[in-house]
Amino acid sequence: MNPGAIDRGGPDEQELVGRLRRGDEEAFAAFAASYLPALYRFALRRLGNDRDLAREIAQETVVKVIERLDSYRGEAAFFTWICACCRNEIAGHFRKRSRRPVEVTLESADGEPQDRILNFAAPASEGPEEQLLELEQRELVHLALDRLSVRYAQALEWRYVDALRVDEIAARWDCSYKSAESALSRARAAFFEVYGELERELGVVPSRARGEERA
Amino acid sequence: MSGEDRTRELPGRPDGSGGDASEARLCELLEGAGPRRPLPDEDLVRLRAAARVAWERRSGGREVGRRKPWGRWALAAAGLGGLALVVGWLSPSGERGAGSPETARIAELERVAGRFEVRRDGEAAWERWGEERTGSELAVGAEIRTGEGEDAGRAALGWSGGASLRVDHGSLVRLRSEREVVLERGAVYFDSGGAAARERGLTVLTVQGRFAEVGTQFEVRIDAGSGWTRLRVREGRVELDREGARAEAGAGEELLLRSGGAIERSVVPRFGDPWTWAVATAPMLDLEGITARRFLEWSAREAGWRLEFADRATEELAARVVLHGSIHGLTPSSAPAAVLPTAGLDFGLHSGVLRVAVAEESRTPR
Repeated sequence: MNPGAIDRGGPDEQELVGRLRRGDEEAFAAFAASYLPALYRFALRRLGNDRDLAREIAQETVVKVIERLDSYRGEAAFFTWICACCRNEIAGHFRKRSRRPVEVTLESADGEPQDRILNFAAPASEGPEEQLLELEQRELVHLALDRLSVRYAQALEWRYVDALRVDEIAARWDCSYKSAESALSRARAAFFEVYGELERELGVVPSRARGEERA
Repeated sequence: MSGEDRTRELPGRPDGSGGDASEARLCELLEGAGPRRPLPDEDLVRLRAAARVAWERRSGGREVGRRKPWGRWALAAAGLGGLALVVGWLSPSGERGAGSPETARIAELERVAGRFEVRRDGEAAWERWGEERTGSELAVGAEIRTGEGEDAGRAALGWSGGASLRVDHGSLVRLRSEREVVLERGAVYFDSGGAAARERGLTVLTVQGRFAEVGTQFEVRIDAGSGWTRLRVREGRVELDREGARAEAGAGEELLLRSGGAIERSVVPRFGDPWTWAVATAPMLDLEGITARRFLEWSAREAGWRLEFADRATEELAARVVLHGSIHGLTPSSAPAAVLPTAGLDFGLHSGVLRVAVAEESRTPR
């Protein structure tokens, strides 16, 4: 649970970073809730879902992010900057292993495909480029949901993944229909804001431009 | 979610009218992405704890010992070396393994999608084959018949010399000799396996003419209903001999042969939609013990991409990383996303170019 996560439309990132620098405890709680799950998922994705390695890399990353808060200039989104730090940690990790052949295993000892393989399976009916773009888009959507508060992410997943009606969402939250409807509306806006930012700064090809990439 | 439920529930649309563009976009994104994989609470707790330690050290000036990274298992030492699932892999040099007999056998079934039928030379009955026949050999004179619709099937044959012959839905193909196949209807895709196999050319015979490859990847398709035959060349070149008249097509070219005799020439991209079925039918690479570079070369070749390394360091790393395990269930185009991150490599795809870099090479934050 990340109850303290930032609701988009609340304190902006610059203000958050400023408060972090000043030692604001609430800011730290908001930072931890809003950025750490997404950072961990980002690391997992890039390390082939290796939990042990992703934890190690994410830990090193967050320590460096906090230590170097003063070097964040605000030219890129805060999460983009965190992701760049994470990439550097990953690169550093592999550089340490660079003097000998690197043994990489994709399969568990019992011959079962690890989750990383299952997560990357895409419909064979799609073209090659579409498959890669779909994987990229799936990651960006999940990162965007991680960046939202639990309530907003829940609202969107219940509505669009689990296909719940608004009154069913309201019942789960024990609130009025109108409150649920209003939260859903804000969640949608927040999602598009975060997703658009991730797509611009982390995506290979913006999904709307995919058509231009086809032969 | 049914369309009826969704339109009735749209916020701000009590009349139940259809969703706006953003609603549709959100549906597309979230439904397409599916549920998030839950992040283990234990891992998040540890991550928050590490952040807290760094935070307190920064904020309070207290002497807090830096928490050491959790020990992780060295991949090679953790006993994760389970190496199951070897599917036939054709090496570019055409080696099939020591001692492969040079008999009438000219092809081996390497990959199957659905079911199809085989009739051996001299026999009247057709046999139904499926995935269980992977590894079966086919001799000169064998015929392959793939159905359509509910009976649709495809097959990939490992050809002599390291080549690959793939048969699409709705096809009838006869293996006339080691160097000739007769295409009665449907489509075949042939990949000679690269330069090493150039001397072992294959000719596809059709009613419209003979298509002889010269170290290439190409498709020949017959549309019996419309009476046309089409050649698409992805790599290398193919010579067409039509009752003494010759034509040639090179990489990125298409020839359409109409029943009246006319030949229309046009351009076909070397990657993307025109080759989807052939990519999906590609025999899977045996990852065990090969380098990341070899994997990339295979993936790029099958998908029709041009492989590009960002710099020499990337190329060297790719040549040094040795892979273990399996990519069964993936395709040549989706496999890079699964394999490369574990090898410390990042990649991007743009206009048919697969560009690979060491993971540190990322966009500079603005």
